[in-house]
Amino acid sequence: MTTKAVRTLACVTLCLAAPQAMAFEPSKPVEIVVPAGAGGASDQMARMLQNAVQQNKLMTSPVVVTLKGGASGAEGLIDMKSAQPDGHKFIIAQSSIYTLPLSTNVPFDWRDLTPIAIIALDQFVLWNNATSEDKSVASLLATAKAKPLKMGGTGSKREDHILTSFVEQKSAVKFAYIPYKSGGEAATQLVGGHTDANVNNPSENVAVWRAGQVRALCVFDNKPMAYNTKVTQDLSWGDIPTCRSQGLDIEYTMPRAIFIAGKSTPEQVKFYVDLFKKVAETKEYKDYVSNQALTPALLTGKDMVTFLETDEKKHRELMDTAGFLLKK
Amino acid sequence: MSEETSEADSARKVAAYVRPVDLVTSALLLTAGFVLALDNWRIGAGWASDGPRPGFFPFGLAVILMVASAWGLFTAARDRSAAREVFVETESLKRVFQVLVPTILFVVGIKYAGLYASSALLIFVFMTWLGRLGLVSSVLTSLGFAAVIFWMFEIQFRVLLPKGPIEAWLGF
Amino acid sequence: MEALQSLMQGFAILLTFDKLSLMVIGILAGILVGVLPGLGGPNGVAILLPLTFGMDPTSAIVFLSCIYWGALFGGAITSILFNIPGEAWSVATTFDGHPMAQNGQAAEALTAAFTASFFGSLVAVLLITFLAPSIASFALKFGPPEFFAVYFLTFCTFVGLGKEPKHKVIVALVVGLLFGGIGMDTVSGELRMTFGFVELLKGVDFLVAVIGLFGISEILLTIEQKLAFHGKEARIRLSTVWRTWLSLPRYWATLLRSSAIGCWLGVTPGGAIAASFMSYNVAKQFSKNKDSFGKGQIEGVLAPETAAHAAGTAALLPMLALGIPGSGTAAVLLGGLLVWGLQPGPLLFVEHKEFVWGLIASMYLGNLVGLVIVLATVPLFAAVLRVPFTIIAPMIIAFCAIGAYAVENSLFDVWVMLVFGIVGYVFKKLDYPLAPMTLALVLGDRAEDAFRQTMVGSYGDVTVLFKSPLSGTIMLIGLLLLFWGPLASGASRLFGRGRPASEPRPVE
Repeated sequence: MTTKAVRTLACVTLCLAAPQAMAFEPSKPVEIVVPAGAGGASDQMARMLQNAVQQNKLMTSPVVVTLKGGASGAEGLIDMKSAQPDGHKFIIAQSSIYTLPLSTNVPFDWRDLTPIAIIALDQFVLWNNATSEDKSVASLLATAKAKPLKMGGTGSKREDHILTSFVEQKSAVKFAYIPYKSGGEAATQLVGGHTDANVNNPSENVAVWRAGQVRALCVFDNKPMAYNTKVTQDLSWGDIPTCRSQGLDIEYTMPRAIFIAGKSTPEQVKFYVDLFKKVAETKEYKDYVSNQALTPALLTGKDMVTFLETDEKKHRELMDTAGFLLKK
Repeated sequence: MSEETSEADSARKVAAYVRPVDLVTSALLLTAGFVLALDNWRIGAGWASDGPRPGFFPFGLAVILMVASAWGLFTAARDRSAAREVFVETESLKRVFQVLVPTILFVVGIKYAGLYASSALLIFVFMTWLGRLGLVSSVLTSLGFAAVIFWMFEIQFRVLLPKGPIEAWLGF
Repeated sequence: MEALQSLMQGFAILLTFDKLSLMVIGILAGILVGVLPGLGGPNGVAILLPLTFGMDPTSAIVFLSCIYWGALFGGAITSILFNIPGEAWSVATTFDGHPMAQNGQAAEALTAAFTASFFGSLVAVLLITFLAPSIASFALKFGPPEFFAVYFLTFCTFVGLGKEPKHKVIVALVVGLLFGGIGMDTVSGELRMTFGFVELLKGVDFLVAVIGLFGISEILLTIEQKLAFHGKEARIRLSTVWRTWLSLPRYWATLLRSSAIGCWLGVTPGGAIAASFMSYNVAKQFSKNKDSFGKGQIEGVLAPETAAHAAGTAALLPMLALGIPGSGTAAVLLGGLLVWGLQPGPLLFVEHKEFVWGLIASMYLGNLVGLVIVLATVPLFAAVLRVPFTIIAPMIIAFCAIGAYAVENSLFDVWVMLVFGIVGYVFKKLDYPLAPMTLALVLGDRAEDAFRQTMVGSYGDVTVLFKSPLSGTIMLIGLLLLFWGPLASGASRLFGRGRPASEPRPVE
């Protein structure tokens, strides 16, 4: 195997060049836990990381992706919680680290893990079918007031559902929320006319948007996205107005966060924080965030914890109003 | 499983007849149905405005399971012909346990010794104890098997399987 | 013909030494992961995905799709020889394939399975080549009611099969459905039947259950008889392949019907998994030798394999044309496309013509190369049965454990598999049929999700299932099948003695 030869060679050069002897360095394959199904957004991110690390030789040990998507990702979270703090395993987490424990009795708290970095923020966009008469947010909400519309999304009592309920609270309309297994399914169901709208991430709808099958109404952020290259015939991601400017005063984003096992050593933390700083500089990462229209971000240490705490608090309030909190 | 032993049927010893096993299985299924029905009733088995609630289908199924297994209990109790039908002979049951017990120990072993060492041991035990095959060929086969699957899974495919102290000692 | 021209260009891209050797390596690797239970399909492709990171997209997709074909072929091997289905689509192959192997016809069964697979995927590739755009839009017509209707139809084709006591069929079906319901409920996000066990959160994985139910229980049943496999005295020659081939044209109707079912369910997102079951049942209903099904009937191997391969191939169509994966493996391939910077969707055919037609051409070539390779290995695989039981049995047990573990990297799953092995042993001996139980495990929770999604959308109105022409038609066909027996006998009694037929209650 030539790849193996390359790897051995890489190891030899890197091992010789290693400056401090005390620093932590993985000595066996590093496992990425993906708390989602094959082919989903988290899985794609894991493949990107695997590719970026491998192509740029950022680490001597190989990277292995493990999918643990059972129970809306709770399986992956539980697995990470019980992992040994040996620095050979990290998880790509997102908002479900707080929504799951809040809505079900899954015994998990993200404080049990060691936070490393938030490597990107994912946006949410309000979409409807391109053939629909409603060409603006106001028009869609007016239609929804007249007759109930169907809103598609991924899973129940999770981001899409919470955001839908957020929209309901702000605009005093009611949607029939239909939970699907994946964002891809939600996208197709919208194109097929089985639902009237969805709040998919850009990456989940980009294919059908480019094909002119769906319409992007607004993005749930405080400013438009920063990508100005044309994605469809005449629009770029940056051309999508914010929901606030369209009279729907909602901000909602989702962090893509990396954690390692709880009780990890400071050396292990330093290694991974450095690793992700290097990853954020690679071409693979930059291509990835722009293809998926993610907002690049790199929050580590205290910044990250503050962000997560604020975001968790926000979710608790939103879910409380929506009645999604676990009834004790 | 029923451990009821009875006098020799004709020439062979019978470990269990069909009827008691059938009765026990049906009774277990009936109990399971009851427990599941209760649990699903707890989370809501009704029909809300937006369709069935989470417990609706499982509750219905649990009730169907109770009815069907109660019917099974009833027919098995009435069916006299099955009383003489052999479920398993002592000799066969012994063979089944000769496989089942090492297999259970093998799964226990995975946790402590890792999958590779545990499989090698399983193959060794099967070959020497059940197959009465030579010691050398048994050792070679079991170690060879473990080595090949280790090379295939850990090194080529990078599937991480449970490993124990031996692999850790070898640096994996 | 524009399609034909593009296809020729595709072939031109492939017919280089590099690409062809890549195909052979891919197929061999695919057969290997297909043979190892738990690694086939999505897992296998995901594991081998990193190997392609350095390649150009066309080489990479050719390599990966060849792994996919190899895995599809390989899945049949363990199903037939050891009764261990490595994938959902090979479960139905065990129903008749393993009995054939026990009767000493392992080589015939393998040849039939491989040839049927080839035929099925050939039909599906032809479909993709010439009808891609129009078929792709068909997939969009499927919303929750239509999905439910398809699952309902699959269940209906099953009713009335088997001579086991009725209450045992119902118990098997219900137990399968209940197991499928364990864990988190998609529609409400609530936990069901986990009784506080963290390990049960993710539910009982279908593959784990099936590896136990079929693989482990088979070993227990075999050892109960004697310390050897049945049919090990079978003599295998390459001429068996010819003999089997000569017998195949007789089953042209089964092959065509199964291909049609496979293509239809393959382009239906999420339907591929039902294809082999439905095809098996339909073949049984239409067969003249209905009673010999389950005892080693060659049609019982041909039907599910043709449909599985046709569905597996056709499932790539919605992925390429719409960006929605039709199956788990297609989802991983989709992830691969994104790694190489290709955006699947309606524009892929326009923007990356070379890539798409290279892939389609590789479907033809890959399957042909695959067929040659697997047929050449038939004697080898069949010879595995001659290895003494005391050597091969522990290896099978080890592979079952690896398979069960690898599905979700969970040791708990290995215990679940073992429990299912014992349940399978007792159930088989007591005449509880395992086929409806596995069908229920595979499709039960999907059917429930589809039904409840329908209800959310219709505000609890059940009649919506019959309102759209597509779902209404499928539902009616299902109901017709369900009540076919009673209706037919009722009609004959009406004209005969005039006594009303008692209709059995439909099974949920």
